[in-house]
Order: sequence, then structure tokens, then C-alpha cells
Amino acid sequence: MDKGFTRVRPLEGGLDAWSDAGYYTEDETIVAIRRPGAG
Amino acid sequence: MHKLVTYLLRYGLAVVFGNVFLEQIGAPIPALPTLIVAGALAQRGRMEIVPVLAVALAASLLADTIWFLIGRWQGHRVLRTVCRLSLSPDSCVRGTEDLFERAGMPSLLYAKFLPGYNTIAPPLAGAMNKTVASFLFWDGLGSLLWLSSGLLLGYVFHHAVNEVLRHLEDLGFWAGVIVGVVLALVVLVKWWQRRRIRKILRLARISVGELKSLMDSGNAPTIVDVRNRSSHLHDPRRLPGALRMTIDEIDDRLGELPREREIVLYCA
Repeated sequence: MDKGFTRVRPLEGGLDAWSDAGYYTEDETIVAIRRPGAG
Repeated sequence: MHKLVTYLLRYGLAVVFGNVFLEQIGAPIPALPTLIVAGALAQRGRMEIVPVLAVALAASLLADTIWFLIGRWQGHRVLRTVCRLSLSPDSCVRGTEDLFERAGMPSLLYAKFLPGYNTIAPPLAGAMNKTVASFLFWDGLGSLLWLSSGLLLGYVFHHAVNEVLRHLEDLGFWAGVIVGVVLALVVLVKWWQRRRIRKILRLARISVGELKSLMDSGNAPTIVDVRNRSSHLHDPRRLPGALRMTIDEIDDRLGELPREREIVLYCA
């Protein structure tokens, strides 16, 4: 189940619980990259 | 039997409306038995099938539209609130988002037949900024399909339904008590199971406080953000240093994860 890893645990409450506790979160900027010559 | 049937016939439409509305708004009161009885009464010509279907459809659309508007107002946050009612809130959010991402609005056509997804699909459609017209179209068709199935079941199996009704009528006042007690027991058993499984799941999880302590002590685990693409688009935040990979990518990208450190995942 853990595929050879020491320990795998889900975070209780996920991202919201982390954020609600007042801890820092990073913002992920999604950038669209257009290939040269495309469209 | 006459008393019970008379009662159903007198308040039938109100009972159907209330029951369907309450179930669709999230109360643990199944509407299927009521629809089946209404179908059986319609087969005997004691109820008109079209008004029953119209009232049930209105109740279903009203409750679903309320959820749709809450979803539009609250965004993805409402999913977490709705999913708190489920046994595993984060997998509930991820599972429903994945299903909606794959199938889109046509999934509303069969949403009523999938326990859990039934209540979550309307706010999810709202959170994903779908148009009201598209929502009413697909949800209306889905509701019609679901309600017709219930009524049809009662229509086809009317002999069996009438038999049950006759036994209940023979019991008189006690029939109401028995039905009430059975309903209360079903709700109680579901609540107890949910509480027990939540307790087990809590033991297997890491709390926010424990994760923060590990990070502060220099023993930070590897954090993996396994939310799907639509979640990232709606909420670009992530835990500090979290690696991003979807559930489908994990097997192919296992090599990126250090085996000597603990892994902490979050999917909602």
C-alpha cells in the first residue's frame, strides 16, 4: 500500500485546515506557454 | 387500508413535495418509498401521475437550484462543507470533482442515482460557474429520469406495495410508530457508523499542528498536493514546498519522492 515509503499519511482537513490555522501558503502562478510558430 | 390511503390521497402532493425537497436539500429522508407508493396509487387510479411528477420535479429543481446558487456564491468551499457529511471528506471532494471534470454537465443526468454525488453535483456545477440555463436543462432531465423511475417501480410492483400498505393499515396507530422508529434507527445507525469510521480515519491522518511541528523541527516530510487540475485553477494556493502531482500521475512519478522521508498528501 505504501509502496516502500517510510510512512504515507493524508493531511486532516487538507489545504483549508492549514490555511484556516493561519499558516503560510504559497501561490502557484499558472503560466500559459505558447510554442514558437503555434497559432 | 382506507385510512392510510385516504391520508396519502388528501396530503399526497404536499407529502411528495416535502419529501423530495428534504432529500434533495440533504436531509437523510429517502424520497424513493414515497414515490413508489405514489406510483402504486396511480396504477389503481387513486392518484394522478402527472401532478405527482410535476410537484416532485418542482421540489427537486427548487432544492437543487438553491444548492447551485450556494455553489456559485461560495465556490469550492461549499464542497468541503457538503463533503463533511461524508465518511471521508477529502476523497469525497476529489472524487466528485474528478467525476464532474470527466463527464461535465451531462453527469447531472445520472447524478440522482449515485449516493453522495446526488447532493454534491448541483453546488459543484455552481462552483464551476456553469450557466443557470444549462444547469436547469441537465438537472431537470436527470430529476425527471430519477422521479419517473421511482413512480414506475410503484406502478409495476403495485401488488407488493398494496400488500405492505394493507399490513401497515391493520396495525393502525402503531404503524406510524413503527415507521418512525425504523426511520430514527436508520439515521442513528448511519450517524454511529460515520462517527466510528471518522475516528479510525483520524488516527491514520496527520493533523495540521503535527505537520507544522515537524516542519519547524527540521524533520519536514515530503508534501504532495494531489488535487486535480480544476481545483488548482480555482484555488492556486499550496502548502510551502509541496510537490504537485495528480492521483493518476503518482505511479509514473514515484521516483521523484524520497523513500527515507515521510510523505504527507492532501487532496482537497
